[in-house]
Amino acid sequence: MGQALLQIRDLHTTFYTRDGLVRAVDGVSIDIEAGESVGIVGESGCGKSMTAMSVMGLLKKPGIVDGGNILFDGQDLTSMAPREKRKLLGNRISMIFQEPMTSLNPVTTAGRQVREALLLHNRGMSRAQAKDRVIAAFELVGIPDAAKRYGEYPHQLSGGLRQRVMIAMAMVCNPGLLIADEPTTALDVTIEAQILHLMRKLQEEKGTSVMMITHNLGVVAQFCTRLYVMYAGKVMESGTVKEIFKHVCHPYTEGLMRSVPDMESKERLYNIRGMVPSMLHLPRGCRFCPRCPYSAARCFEEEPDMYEAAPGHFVRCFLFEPEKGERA
Amino acid sequence: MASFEQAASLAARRAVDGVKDKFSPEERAEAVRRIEEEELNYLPGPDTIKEKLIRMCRENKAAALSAGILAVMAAAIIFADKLAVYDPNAVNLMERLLPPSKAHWCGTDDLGRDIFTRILYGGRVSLLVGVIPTTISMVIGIILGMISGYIRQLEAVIMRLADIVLAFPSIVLAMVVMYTLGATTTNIFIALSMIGWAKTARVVRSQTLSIREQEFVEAARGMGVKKWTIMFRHILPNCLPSLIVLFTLNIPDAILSEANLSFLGVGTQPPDSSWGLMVSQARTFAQSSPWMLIFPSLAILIMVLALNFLGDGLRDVMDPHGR
Amino acid sequence: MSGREILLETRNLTKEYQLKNNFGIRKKQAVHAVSDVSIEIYKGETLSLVGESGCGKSTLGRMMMRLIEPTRGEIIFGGEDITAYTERQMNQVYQKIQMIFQDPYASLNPRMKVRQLIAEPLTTHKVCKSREETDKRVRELMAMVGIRPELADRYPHQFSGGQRQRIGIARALALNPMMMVCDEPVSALDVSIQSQILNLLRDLQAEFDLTYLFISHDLGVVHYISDRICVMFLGKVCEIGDTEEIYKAPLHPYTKFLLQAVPSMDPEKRQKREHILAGEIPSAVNPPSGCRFRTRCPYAKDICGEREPELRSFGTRKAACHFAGGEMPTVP
Repeated sequence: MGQALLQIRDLHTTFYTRDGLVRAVDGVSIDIEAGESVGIVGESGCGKSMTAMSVMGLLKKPGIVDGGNILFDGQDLTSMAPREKRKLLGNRISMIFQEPMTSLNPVTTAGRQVREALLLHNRGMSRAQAKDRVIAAFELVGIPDAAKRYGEYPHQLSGGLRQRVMIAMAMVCNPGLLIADEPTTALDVTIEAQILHLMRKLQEEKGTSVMMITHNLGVVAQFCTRLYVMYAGKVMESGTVKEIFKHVCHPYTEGLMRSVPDMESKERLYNIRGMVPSMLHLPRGCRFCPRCPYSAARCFEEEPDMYEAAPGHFVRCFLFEPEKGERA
Repeated sequence: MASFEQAASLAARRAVDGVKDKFSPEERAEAVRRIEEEELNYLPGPDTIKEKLIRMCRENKAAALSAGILAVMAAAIIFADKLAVYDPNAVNLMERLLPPSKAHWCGTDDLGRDIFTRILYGGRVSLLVGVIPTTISMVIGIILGMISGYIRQLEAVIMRLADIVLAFPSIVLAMVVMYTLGATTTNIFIALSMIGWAKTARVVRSQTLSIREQEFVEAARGMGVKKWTIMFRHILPNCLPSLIVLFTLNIPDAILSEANLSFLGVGTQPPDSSWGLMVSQARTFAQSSPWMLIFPSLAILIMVLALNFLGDGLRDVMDPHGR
Repeated sequence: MSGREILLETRNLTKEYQLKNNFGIRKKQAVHAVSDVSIEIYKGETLSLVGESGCGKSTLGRMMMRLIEPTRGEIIFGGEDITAYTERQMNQVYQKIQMIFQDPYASLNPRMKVRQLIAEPLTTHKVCKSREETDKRVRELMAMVGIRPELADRYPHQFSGGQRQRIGIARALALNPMMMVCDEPVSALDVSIQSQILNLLRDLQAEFDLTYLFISHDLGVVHYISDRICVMFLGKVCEIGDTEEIYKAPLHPYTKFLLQAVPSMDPEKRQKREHILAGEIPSAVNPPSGCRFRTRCPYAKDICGEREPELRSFGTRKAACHFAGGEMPTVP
């Protein structure tokens, strides 16, 4: 395996709150190869957004990265000087957020905001040149009347168009890695389909790697090639989408998939019992054990490692621990 | 989704015949119950107001200090006749305009009266003027503000009335009231209440307008809860944080308005004093005898600051989110 | 179908919001939030209102409870026209219809304890005779929705989103209603919690013979919970009928595209370009003439702009499209 574009190695992100330590990201390792789209899936509070924020250096106050490395193109983001890092972020790595309304400045036109992002990383470019590039980018992301939309304010645009503007802003510098944090959650279904289609088209044309953070398994199935499932700050299962959707291994992933109502059967939905534990007070042993239908005495005492259930398919569950001598 | 059924059995099959120390469902339920019990005990229970106050004192030092200062000030003002060595109104022309000294801690004024003593006695008027009209005007303002925010038909009437009050220079309005009713302390309360409500009504109305759109108000309407119950049970408690801040801001306003009235001769009547009156009387001597101005101003300043800090602290206590 | 008892019915229900200019003077334009909607809800069934944002599904649901006053039209509940009921008369109705809201954070007053929240409908309608009785009922309701009664003295913010939604459901159940309007009750919840709440709603329906009006944009959830669905677009009903039939063979092109837009859980089945509906939702201020969907509809012909399609019956279903039931015109 060649060197991945983004390598997150044993990342720890901790929030030092008044009530105690919250290990929002607790030893997460993720690889994203060039040109690959990787899904990070989990429920709210599982640390998927915090992983992205750690990469982007956007953590809010009591939170800091206090362990591990984030290597982008071989450079370590965690030990990089802020100046150097700023050159990288928004340029080689960019991000799209969930809420297209609040992530655009309401008092500046859409085109201007994208132009500023472009000029920031291209000092030599003239404003006229930049404007042309922005309009070209608007056309690329399928904004009708791109030249007219350039001068419009965010509130004049619909939710779908705003998200397209955000994508244009993220893509205008031709980044190597695009981090998309729930890019379609706030959108209607038909618009969601449009945006996903657009992102796939851009990704295929430009060879951009995408880190897709979402809670929607359908989006992952449609968009990603590989998948990491997170629960309470740890990766529980990882592998290719095809493999995991066909041979799901971890009881949590299994429960998650069976909890989604599908459009073919009306059979009673599966329920994962209980609720996500408080991050201030995680259970001993495996984090999922109190909710797991298969947990055994050992799960309440020890924490499992990641075991390889099939080639390239890793699972954090004792059920998949190789027997001693089984594979030796 | 046949693939899921197959997938589900993969983990299940391993669970059934793969793992060495198998758990019976009862054992698992027991282990889970233990964890849930722990979680429940760990979760902070509901706090009483007393516990919250204690926590505020521990965590918010400024608020605790302010509460202490206000208590000392209140005690000093209430027990002024026990503390004071001098008569607050005794004129002594031999000792006029003396700077601060051991005998006169804050110096004396142009009639030779001890300023410290006068601050103590003047505090009585100022404290009452600060608290009573503010309370009355806020009660009026809260009720009118909520009505105009919640019952649309009455909005225009009440808000235009408030506009009229706000458009007039408040001091003119208060003077008119004082001239008609006569210059007594009670009438000061009435006059200040009449001008103070409009601001509160505005704030409460805007809060009401935003709170009424929240789903819990809609939920209450959908349960058939009556208008007035919605206002007092659902809207008012959610206005509290801004009302506490407003209260601490209105008190110094009232104190200063009283000073202005006194300065114009329709407020507190000499020889009685209030802090505001002392400040305005000291203006002529500001250059030659600055202590006459400094000490009463300091009293007002300290009280206002302390009230603001305490207000901030209390707002946090009232907030159910700040456990 | 005709033999079943109708619990709630709307006739030409319409809501228009008059636009005003800066001086508060009415302009000629109005936002057409809901236009001429006539639907029936049968006793004991779950009818889902489906559509994208701005289609008027929430407005319609709230109008049925008179939380929003309709501009025109009638609401008939249990055989009686409640459109012009006074506040006092509505109180009787509120004992029979209750609502569950989308946002479990905003729908519970943050300054009330769970006990007070659940007891509010009981005290408002003076259902329980004594304090002890109220308390007993509150505990009973909490147990029913799966919250430990020991937690009655906590405030809503001390609970997770799913638990808060359970509290909301307990409150709605307190008066033993006949019908519940559920406005996106699971769309703010995580997947694993969503399935718990959906199952809870199903179980409660079976136990108390409830009728649900379920408002949602999530087609998977709608399929799971509903007997019949009503697809709306820009304030109009596109198609209404049995869930299975509509999911199998939608009559209205909008329904078809809506169903195809849902990302499939099967990685082998990737969405195709021609399955994606282009364009944006038009403005409700100046809705397109004729069929409101025509500006996005790939099959649109001249007739769609000239004449508004009526809601026509096709067996047990109804659809509002000139071409429904026959061949769809070919896409140019």
